Amino acid sequence: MRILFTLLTLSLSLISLAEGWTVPEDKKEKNAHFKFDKTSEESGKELYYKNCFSCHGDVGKNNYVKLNPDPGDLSTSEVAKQTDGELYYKLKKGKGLMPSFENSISSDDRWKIIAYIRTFHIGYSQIVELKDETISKDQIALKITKLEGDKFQVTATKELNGKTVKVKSVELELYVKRYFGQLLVDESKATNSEGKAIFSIEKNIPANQEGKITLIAKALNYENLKALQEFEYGFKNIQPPLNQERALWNTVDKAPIWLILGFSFGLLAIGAFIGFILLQLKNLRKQK
Amino acid sequence: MENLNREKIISDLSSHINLNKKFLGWMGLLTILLLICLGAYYQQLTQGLQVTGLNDYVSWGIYLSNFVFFVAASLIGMLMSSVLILSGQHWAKPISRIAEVIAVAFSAIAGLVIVSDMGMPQRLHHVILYGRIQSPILWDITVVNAYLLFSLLLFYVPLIPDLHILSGRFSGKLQILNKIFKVGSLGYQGTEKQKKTIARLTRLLSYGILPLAFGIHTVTSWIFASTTRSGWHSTIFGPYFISGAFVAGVAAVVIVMTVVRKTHKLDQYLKDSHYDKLGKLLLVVSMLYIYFNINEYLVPLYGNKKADAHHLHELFAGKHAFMFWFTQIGCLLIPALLMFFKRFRKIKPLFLISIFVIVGAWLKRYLIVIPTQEHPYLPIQNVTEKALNYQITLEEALVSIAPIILVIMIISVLLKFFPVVPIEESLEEVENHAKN
Repeated sequence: MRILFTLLTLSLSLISLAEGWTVPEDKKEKNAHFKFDKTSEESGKELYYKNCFSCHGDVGKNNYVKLNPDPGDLSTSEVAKQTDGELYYKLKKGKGLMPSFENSISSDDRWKIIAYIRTFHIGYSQIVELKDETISKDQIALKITKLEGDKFQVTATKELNGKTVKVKSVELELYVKRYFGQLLVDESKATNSEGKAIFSIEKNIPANQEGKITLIAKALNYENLKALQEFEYGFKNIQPPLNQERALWNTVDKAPIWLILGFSFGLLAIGAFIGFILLQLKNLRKQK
Repeated sequence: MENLNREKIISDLSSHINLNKKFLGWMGLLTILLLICLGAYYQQLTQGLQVTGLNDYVSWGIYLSNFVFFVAASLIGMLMSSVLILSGQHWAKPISRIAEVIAVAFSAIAGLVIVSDMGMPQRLHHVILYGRIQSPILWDITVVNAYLLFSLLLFYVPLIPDLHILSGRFSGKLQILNKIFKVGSLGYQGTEKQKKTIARLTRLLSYGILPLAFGIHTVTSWIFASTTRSGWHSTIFGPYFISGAFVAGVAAVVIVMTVVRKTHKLDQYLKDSHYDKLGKLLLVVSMLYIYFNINEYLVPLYGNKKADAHHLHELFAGKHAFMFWFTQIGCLLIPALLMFFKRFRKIKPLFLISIFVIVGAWLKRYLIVIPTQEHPYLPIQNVTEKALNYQITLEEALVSIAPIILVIMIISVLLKFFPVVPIEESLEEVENHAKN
């Protein structure tokens, strides 16, 4: 019994060591929307050497830097057996010592790096996820609705032969409108077979003075497809106008009280002093 | 014997009150020069400020540096009448009226200097109607005018006894002075009570003018220091300006005193000992000013922020290097060093040194106002490189000279028609001497 238990724990720990990096299921299926060709592979090589070489070394030469954990060589079967979507996700998110390249390398460029790495994987054949030409963006409609709690739902539908059809695999990002831009909330999600994607927004997100936020849903894999909707949600943010308070830099009618008082007092003091002197001078004649 | 002595003193100290040809010629010359300068001002009024060298970068030019110089020179009244006399330095008493006259003249005309910098002087009343209470410029206008009033009173109140003594002594063309002096003496008869009142009021004014005088030049310095520009944004601008004002003021007093001593024949009353003391005073205030200069330049030099470094380079080794070193060494350091030696604290050497000091003081204000504006943090758009070089035009120079002429005129008139050395005080001193 004890031997069985020990063996079980050992094997489990071995498995956990090899556990590495799991990628969410819906992200594994993602594929590039263009075919990897010579140009994309060459650009990918340039990008690789600029961004990846410093830790991973040359692909296929095992000259990666000894870190903890090891970055590893990217030509191994471990890497080769992962899907394009998994590699894309890892590049995008990063983990531990590997930085997230979401903001520093564009989406297309990340695919090109993957294109380059794939040239070292024997037996690899690319699955291209070309945009569905039958569905143009004009036909798809997005709708944002509020669910219970902190959940918001975005539905993608299209009109086909007079019938409303749900559209799946529309990659969506949800933003909250801010003063100087848009704040991305939650992660990007693809609509499921029901044509729905659910996002969560924290309950205390700052809203405007009426307690409302404006949500913007944008599709990543369709150009110019978005939806906008206002909701009563979040923390009612009542801020007075910036020039409402008295300040040195504000207009004259909003000058600081201490300054008005100080200046007036100074003038009065000077006036009183001079007045006193003049009065004394006037009475000089009478002093015998 | 006493009466003869009394009579001699009064006569000595008032013999200059006449209408001799020299004075009329002097005033005539000044008037002609003033008219030429006013002609230049007319050009500026009709054509606008384009007749000056002012441009996008340097929008405060020598008009403003002239203004700062005027405010600085006017502080001497406070230094002499308040600081020295209140602290018991009685040697300064004969000189205090000269100091007050300088103070009155400079603070009265300082406002005109600002008006000359205005493109639209007809809008001057807007300052009162739409004034911005948060602006150091408004505070400056207030304190300068208040200081002018106080200086006028500090000139007039100690003058009352002398007006009483002199009223009735004039004849011929100057008879009108008898009436003016009688009215001006406000019924002063020299009674004990009245003497006490005059003394009390003078002392009160001397105390009262102290904070005001500190205020006047500190607030002027805030006009620059409250901005964030390199070369201006300094926390010590207030004391820096005030100590500089003392240096310029002492030099101004020496110059006026030396001239008046000759023209009014006052060598018995403005003696070598006064020059010796003034020389020592100049040394003390110069040391103080040098101290502030070192702080003002060494600290940003060490920190070497980019904008500061650029500004300091222009002063030490760049465009303004010659003016800077001439001013600092020739007009501040060397005069201060020379003041250590008694040989230079005599009439002729001190007079010459004072001319250098006052020229240096004027140039120093140029160096404070203009170089900072030549390198703002961000370049100004759509402006040629030429605008980076501020060149004084002839009209600008003449319009700047006009206030100086006006000041000289005011000093000349006030020191001509009123006793320069206080008569009653001198009489009292002789009496006290006799008693002892």
